[in-house]
Amino acid sequence: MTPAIGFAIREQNRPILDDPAIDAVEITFERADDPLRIDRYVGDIDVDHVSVHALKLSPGSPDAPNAEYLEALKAIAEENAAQSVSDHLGFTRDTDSGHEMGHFAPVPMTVEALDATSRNIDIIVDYFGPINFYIENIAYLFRLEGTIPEAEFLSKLLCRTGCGWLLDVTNVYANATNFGFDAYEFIAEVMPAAKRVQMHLAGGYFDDEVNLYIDGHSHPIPEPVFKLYRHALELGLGKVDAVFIERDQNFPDETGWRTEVREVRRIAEEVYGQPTVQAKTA
Amino acid sequence: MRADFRDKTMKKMANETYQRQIVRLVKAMSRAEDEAAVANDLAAGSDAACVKMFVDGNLEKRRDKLEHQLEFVAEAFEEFDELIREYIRSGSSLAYDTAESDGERMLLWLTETKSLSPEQLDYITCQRARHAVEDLARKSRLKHVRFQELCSLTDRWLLEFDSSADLQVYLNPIRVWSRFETLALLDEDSTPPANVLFYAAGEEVGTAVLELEGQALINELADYQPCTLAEWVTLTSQAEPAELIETCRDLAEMGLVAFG
Repeated sequence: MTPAIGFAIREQNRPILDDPAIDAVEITFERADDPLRIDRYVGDIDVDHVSVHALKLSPGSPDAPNAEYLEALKAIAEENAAQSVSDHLGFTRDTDSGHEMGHFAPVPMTVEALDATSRNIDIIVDYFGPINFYIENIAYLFRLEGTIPEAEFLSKLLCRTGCGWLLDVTNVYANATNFGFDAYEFIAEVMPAAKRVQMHLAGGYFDDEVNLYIDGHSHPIPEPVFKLYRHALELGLGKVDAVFIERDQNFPDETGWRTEVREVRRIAEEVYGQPTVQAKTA
Repeated sequence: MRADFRDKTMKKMANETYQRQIVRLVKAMSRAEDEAAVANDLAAGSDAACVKMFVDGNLEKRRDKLEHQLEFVAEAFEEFDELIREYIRSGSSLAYDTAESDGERMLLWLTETKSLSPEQLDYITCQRARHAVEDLARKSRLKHVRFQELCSLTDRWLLEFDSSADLQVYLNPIRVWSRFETLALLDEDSTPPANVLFYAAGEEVGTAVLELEGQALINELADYQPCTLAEWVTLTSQAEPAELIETCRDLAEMGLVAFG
């Protein structure tokens, strides 16, 4: 079945969420977590798949995720009838009662980090029960020294915990561009380890000053990312639940929003209509 | 040493090593000018300039967030953006910072470290009261939503108000008292100091400056509610029936009271 397709909700794209190409939405938890809000964040939107995307579970931290934060996340998920919750493979804080950096840094790909992250994800998966949890691969500006290649680390994490993979295709593209590895091989190596998959798609920009591709969620999805997306769909045939487009700035007009999501759907329907690569399961 | 005990000990030590590494990295990357401390942890192909870019980006986001959160308070200060920078330099965000808590901490930092005018203190008091309303709404979400649902029917009930003897009166559960010492945020004809009630009004924060009699009625209703208007009229020692009915109507129009 073709995955559900849609957007990460922003106030700027709410007016077009009735587009026939859209049957999924993603809620960014920190945006929905408004204590005075009365209605549920998705409002009257009627879609097949709702996911809640968090920023602060920090599964790569040595301590377990905070109970209050888990509770708040679950409350938003239940209020909006979400099928899934996701967060990032990284760390934003040191300990539960410690300090916060504000954005996630990549974990050092070591055995110790794998153990800690697996432990935390086990806690998260267990807590959410029937609401599936997905871990997202992040875009990074630097890497910390490690002993395990990233694709292997991620594969082992997915196998150990059974959680889903939120494959951020643009993040893979950005990291491959910036650190010189093959994005197609990366996805091919990790995909068998994932029982279920969601995807993120976004557009960034090349920063000439620092010579890096920045995943800014600021531009239309570029053609190389669309190609990588097609490749990922083919490899993940049958286990991709949903695909979300992310945009946080430099917003398009109504036509721009609709054109992009329809293209994402067109590619998915093409792949699912004519499978060329069978999905492998580890 | 038994193998399983040895394994557990080694795992515990490994986790403690990992914890020390992450604590050190977060300390270095949550403040500017400490990024070089990460250099030895970087993988080949990564450099400290990119760590600096990461840190600077996070600090800029934190600054933007504080500017947005405290836009109201900034009106009472000159060069508030410099105060934000100074506050950020004084310490990193705490883990699990909720929407307003960094702003709240900055307000406390201002009161503890700066010499503030009474007017500036009133601005801070106002903002902190808003935060307190939001915090209360977060902790009592069901009560907040339920009361606002009742409020949505206020216009209808007000039409039948005088003839509905069984109509229950509910006081807004999301309310916080505060106090302004100056005229900075009060109407010209007010007399400071003034007690001000902050409360959830739909998805906003409303304010009401109440005279002593009004304050007493609110506090009284907090004890009696939910009750019918007739019961309140019988129980109150604060107002005559006609006056109470009129006050109740006013409070309903403000969103402080609802009926059901």
